Amino acid sequence: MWYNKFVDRKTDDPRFTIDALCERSGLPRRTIRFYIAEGLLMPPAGRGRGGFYDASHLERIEAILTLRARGLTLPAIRAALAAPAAAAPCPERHEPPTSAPHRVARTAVARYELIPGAALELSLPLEGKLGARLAPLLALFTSALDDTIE
Amino acid sequence: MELRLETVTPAGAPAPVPLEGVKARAVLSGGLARVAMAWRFRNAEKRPVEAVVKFPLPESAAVSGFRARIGTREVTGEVEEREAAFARYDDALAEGDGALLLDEERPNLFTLSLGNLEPDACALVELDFVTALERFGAETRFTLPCTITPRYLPPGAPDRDGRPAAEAVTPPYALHVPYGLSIEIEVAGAAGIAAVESPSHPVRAVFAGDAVTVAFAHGEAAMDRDFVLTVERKAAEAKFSARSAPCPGGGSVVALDLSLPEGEGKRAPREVLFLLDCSGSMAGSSIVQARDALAAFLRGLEVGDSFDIIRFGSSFERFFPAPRPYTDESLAAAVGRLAHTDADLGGTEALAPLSAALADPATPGRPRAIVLLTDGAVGDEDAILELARTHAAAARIFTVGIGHGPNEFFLRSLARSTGGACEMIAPGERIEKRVLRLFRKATADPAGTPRIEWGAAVDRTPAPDAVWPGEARTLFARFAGEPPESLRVEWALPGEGTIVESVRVAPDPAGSPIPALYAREAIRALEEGGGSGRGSAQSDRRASSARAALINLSCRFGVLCRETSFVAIERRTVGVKIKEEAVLRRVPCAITAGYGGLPAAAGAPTGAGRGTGLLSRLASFAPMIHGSTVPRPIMAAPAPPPPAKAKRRPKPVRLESAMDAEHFNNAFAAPLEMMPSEPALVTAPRRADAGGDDDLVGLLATQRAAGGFALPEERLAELGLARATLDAALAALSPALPPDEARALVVAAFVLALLAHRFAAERSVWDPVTAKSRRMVERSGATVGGVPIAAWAAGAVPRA
Repeated sequence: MWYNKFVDRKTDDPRFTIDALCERSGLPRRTIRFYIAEGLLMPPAGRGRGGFYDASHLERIEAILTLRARGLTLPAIRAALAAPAAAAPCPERHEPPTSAPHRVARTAVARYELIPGAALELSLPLEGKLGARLAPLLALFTSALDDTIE
Repeated sequence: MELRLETVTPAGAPAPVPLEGVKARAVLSGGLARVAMAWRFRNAEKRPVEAVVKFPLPESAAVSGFRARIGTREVTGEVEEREAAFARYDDALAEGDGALLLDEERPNLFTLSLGNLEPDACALVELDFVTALERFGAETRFTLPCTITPRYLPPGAPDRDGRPAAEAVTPPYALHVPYGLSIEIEVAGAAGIAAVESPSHPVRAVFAGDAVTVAFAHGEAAMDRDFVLTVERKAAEAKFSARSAPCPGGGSVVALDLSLPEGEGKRAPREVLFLLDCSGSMAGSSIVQARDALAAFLRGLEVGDSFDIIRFGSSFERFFPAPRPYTDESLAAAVGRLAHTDADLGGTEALAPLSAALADPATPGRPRAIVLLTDGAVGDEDAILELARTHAAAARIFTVGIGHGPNEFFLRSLARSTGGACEMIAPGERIEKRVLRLFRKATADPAGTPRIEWGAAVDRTPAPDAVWPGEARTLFARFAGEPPESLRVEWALPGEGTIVESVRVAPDPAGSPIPALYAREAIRALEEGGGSGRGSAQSDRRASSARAALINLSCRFGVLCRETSFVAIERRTVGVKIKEEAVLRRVPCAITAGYGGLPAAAGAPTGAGRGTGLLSRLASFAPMIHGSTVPRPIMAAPAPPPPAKAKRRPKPVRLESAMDAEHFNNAFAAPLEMMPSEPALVTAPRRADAGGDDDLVGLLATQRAAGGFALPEERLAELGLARATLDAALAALSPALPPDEARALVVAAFVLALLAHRFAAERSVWDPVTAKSRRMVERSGATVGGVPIAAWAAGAVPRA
């Protein structure tokens, strides 16, 4: 990749300003600040916003854009990039395998309120798959709850 | 469960909200509103804060001033290209200085950033804008949007510069926020004012000297619904006038104000396609409001028109396979289906149904009008507007804005770009009147384009191609030197002949808003000129030269546009520069009242930290029956225990959630902590005067497609036409007619006379709709006992 030549140099670990980062990544300042605020990109080294960026920031930006192009939501990207086990970005939406408690990236769900206090949650793909068969299912659950409670 | 006040931060922990209050001061005069908005910030934390707040403004507002007072220091903002402005703001923050930034995300949606606010410091940020008031006949309307209805973006909406498209237009939402809005409005010309009222909020209006001052009745109001103020003058003023002002950078600008007298347009057959928004955001009171508006439209159609209704959400479906001629049968079928229509189609994807509506081949001799009823909660306005522009010749689009916070930019732009019109209906307002006003425009041809001799103008704003009787428009032109002394206007009005007038140009006093208003119109012409299409190199070139012209114009006149921002830097001395990184605090916005069926307590006063107050207020509202359907609640209302086990339950409702940008757009449910644990009661919008209005609407609803009223005997007796009187009239009717026809004629004549007597004040509501019944009676030439039937009817109506 084109920025590897900076990483490999032994004498220097070149740091660059926000403007240089913008130029090299092709993104405006607003986006860089946005990624940092969202916890997707590491803050610069040094004093606050005036600090310096390096190749690791560029790598991270590329990872973010790649995952975004694959349709991941920002929280999913955040979780994927924070996972220590992942050497390469996770291609799927589920969390990487690890036994420690970890943050679950929320995928898109639809929530149907059946009766007060009871709801059915389905992932959007599943909801789409069920299509017209969902309505009778919902009616079934609702009336089963009714019968049980009353 | 307590309602938490939350500022969304990356860490997710609750933090104090740095915004304490918002105030709007306005002067309404000469068809304009000049407004100063102020935001009061306070940093209650121990660390420096960067506060970011998103807010709406009227879509045609010319934002022309921006300044702040931070502690004892004052700064004034300057207009600059957007990214350059951000860089200055960012650099200032890095330096440890204070900074402010005002970005325009949409013409009606802005982001205010206040950076490096020190611990315990206060800041007052002010913004000036000027906007034209909506004028129709003797009524003037001022709308201050207060809420950003969550915008839906279709899946796959592309990122902008690496940021999700939703981010620009979606603030964090909360059910309850600790800041409110106060207003101070001065309406000039008290002598000519008949009434000042607000359909959206309880207000106090005091006539004092030459002005009427308006404030909220309870001091502060929650920012969960738009504020609407209507001013009714004693007499309508229909005239042409022109004023001039010097232009920054040399030259002058002229504003030509044209207002047309009210009048009936010429009614012609139409094909009307109704697009009804049935997305999740419309659940609750909005869909009820939209259904009522649509039913009112249907009542006004005439035999000779054809129509169809398309309901849409994430998908769309038509009531009829193709537009059907308007008859009793098709009307009954439509009304029947409408009564069972609900907001259950998911997201607001208007592009597909609109394409379908525009693609249908048109019938010659029956021009197509598209009527779109929606809250406009879409984030991809540009894509839809682009579609409408390319098909502008196929149909005029008339938009009806529903709910507490309709997306005005989307609705008005859509109407403008197709030569249509827009009407906003605030919840609680009389639907019939507003709907019929729009209806008259949809079914009659507008006045053509006025011809104006501008002379040596170097630039002029485009002439409108659709103006209807009763409306007003202001056109602008810029001159390199002095303005002309007068302007010649020639305007062909339907049914009125041609108006030819020479309008004198009078200089406006100092501090005139005319240059700012001109700049805003010129900005709009550039932004809406269809330059947003991507793809071809040619369109890219055009886009970039349009962008350069926009930035130039915006900076020269100091009026904000989508490509520029206001930036102000507060340079601090070395000792007080901020050393610590400021923490980002995105100020939450109150979720729009009634959104997706959430309860909407009418104009409830706000208060900090009143977590459970909202719930106890809700408990005191009884669910109201609106029309003939009970709005379906998100959570079932606590019904009294029925004697027999009630098996029927409310249909499960799919929630379109409200959260920060990314989560919202994936349409999953609102997190549990945002919903009150007690069952919430949903209130239907309260009508202005419920009883009388329902009677009138009820009567009008019985009108048949071709004229006449389908009223049963008991109802007629209630209204004052006893069986005996009816029979006597039928016996004395001449010429002799078949019994059904005769009865229909007599009943029609009676009802018309009843309307004229009992609902004389609402004539503008029922008169146009009942034209077909009136024609039926007049054409018959019938008499009762030798007296013309209309006179008989007038005599038969009971005088209370």
